[in-house]
Amino acid sequence: MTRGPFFMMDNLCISLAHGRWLHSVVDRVSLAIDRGEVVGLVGESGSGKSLCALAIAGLIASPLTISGGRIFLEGVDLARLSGERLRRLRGDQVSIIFQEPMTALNPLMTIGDQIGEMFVLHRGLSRRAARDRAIAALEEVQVPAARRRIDDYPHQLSGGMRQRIMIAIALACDPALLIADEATTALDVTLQAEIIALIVDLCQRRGTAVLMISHDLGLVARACSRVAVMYAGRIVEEQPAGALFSDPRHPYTQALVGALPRLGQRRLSGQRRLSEIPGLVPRISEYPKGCRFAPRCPIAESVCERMPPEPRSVPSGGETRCHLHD
Amino acid sequence: MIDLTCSAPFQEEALLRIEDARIHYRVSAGWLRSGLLKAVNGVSLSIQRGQCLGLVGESGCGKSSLAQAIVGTTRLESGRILLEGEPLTRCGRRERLRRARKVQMVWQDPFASLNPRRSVMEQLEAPLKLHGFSDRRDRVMAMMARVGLRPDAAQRLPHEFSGGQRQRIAIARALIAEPKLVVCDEPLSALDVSIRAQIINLLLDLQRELGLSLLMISHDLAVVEHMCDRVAVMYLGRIVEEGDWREIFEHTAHPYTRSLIGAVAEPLAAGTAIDRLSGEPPSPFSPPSGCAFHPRCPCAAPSCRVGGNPDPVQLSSAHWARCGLIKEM
Repeated sequence: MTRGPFFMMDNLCISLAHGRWLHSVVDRVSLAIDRGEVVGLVGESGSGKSLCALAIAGLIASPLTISGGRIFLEGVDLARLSGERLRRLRGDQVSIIFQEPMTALNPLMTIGDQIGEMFVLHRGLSRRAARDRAIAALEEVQVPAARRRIDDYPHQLSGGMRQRIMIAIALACDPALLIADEATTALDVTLQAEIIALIVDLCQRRGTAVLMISHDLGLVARACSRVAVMYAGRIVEEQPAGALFSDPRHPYTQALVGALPRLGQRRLSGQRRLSEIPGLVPRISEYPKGCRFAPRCPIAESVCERMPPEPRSVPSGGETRCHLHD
Repeated sequence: MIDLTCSAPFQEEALLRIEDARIHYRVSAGWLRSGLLKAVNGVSLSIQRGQCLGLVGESGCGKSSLAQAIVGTTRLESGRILLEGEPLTRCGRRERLRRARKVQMVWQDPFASLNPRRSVMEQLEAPLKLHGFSDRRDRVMAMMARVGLRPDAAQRLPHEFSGGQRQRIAIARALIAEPKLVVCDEPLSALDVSIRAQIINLLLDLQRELGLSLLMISHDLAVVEHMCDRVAVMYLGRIVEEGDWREIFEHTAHPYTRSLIGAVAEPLAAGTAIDRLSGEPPSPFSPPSGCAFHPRCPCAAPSCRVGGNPDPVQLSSAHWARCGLIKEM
């Protein structure tokens, strides 16, 4: 067997059962990430980006189902693993950092026990040995006075510190893949940059693949090498981060980049108003048959309404799904 | 010391003037002890008619406390807030009602700020009833059209709307009784990128067409640069830099403002190192000596660590900053 990419979602489809209907909420999403690489997945709320994260971690439950495609991590198809193997995989090989550190941490356990639990469960260490490892893990995420902090409860820490604890837990067992799902959205701008830099730095050193899910295009652009853009359950464009913002190819990406308030833009153009994307994201039950962006697209033609576009390659080495791209 | 309230080049009476406002909270700090949290520590600001003032800073710097004092939900420890020259001090019912007629607020979270059991019509009509307006239905329908809501939205409940639509409803509710000033506390941070642009444009249009004044509280400097006429930067309860938007962004004087601008993730700068501010703001219970920003300041000198907070330095007719290292021009 030839060695494929380190991590890969291959034509992943997720469906939502609603009465007699089966709606496709994530449609043929493919994305590969290499060892130590940070790849971004951006999209607006409801675009399906978080569902991809849940599917990777095996957390898709009724009424949602994985209706097609495969998820490979180091050659193993995660989409076909049984419950027990998935449970052992989570936290060990695949970790997720969620948006809200206060709800993700257990308020009744000290942070030392919560980090140490990872070593006890996945590595079979004694509690005493796990505690030492937990202190080392805290030092690695740059928590000052780790030895003193280890017996603190989550409520005694600031938001930034809590998110550092989440990173320590997520990286405790050296996972092959780390998913950061809006990991810094709840934090201040100044802290966001710091936490992202910490995640990127730690993962690149360990060779962990990172899937960074966010709606903040600017943040993703800075941290990631490649970025995929999702709209209504499909990846519409994937390019190296620089090219995606300097030379977006899909009309949706173009509109999204245009709608972003940018530093210095008003000084250059004298314009205070921003360009808007007219209309709204369609409901899941009302996804158009062809290109899902067609009803809001400024250049849509009749072919766009008839059939879904296939990926086409772009000069930067990425892909875009637009019928009108040549 | 210079007179900060006169720094704006306007002769006209400002719409809102805050003079040396202080807000203190008594907070329990452990077993049988209580501490005094100085959330706002001597802030003077003014907003002219039709102007948009941006107030930026990290969480905990006191910007939301100041907003609450302006709308009257938090009491000032000392200092004054003048609206059209009249002080807002007493907090009786009639006083609050009179203030609500002139000052309204748009909150961050449109999911929490609307009553889930009242239809859009009821929620928009309520302020009109309270202030004794006639032709209420017509006003509601006109305002809904103005903020881009369809007429059939009137009978629906908030849960039937998306985040962006709800923020439109919240803006309509704030504007329906024709206030002079709207305080917006992070009105965009719960919204998606494309919706954010729509709401920014809506606020800008309303400001221009209705001659509205806006106080825009945000931590996103890119948004503030786009929207505001003046910008004030707040750190640990004090304004550390204030000026015309162009001055603030072109001739940034305070190192803290520079760090905030540097923290804006600019997509076209992809691949560049993230310019970051290390550490978190110090506890407001025990502010550091000298300049409050010195423990995090990349260019702090020994002189910044001693004494009190630096006095404001006037940099031009419409720009001043509080940093011990800048020399008066």
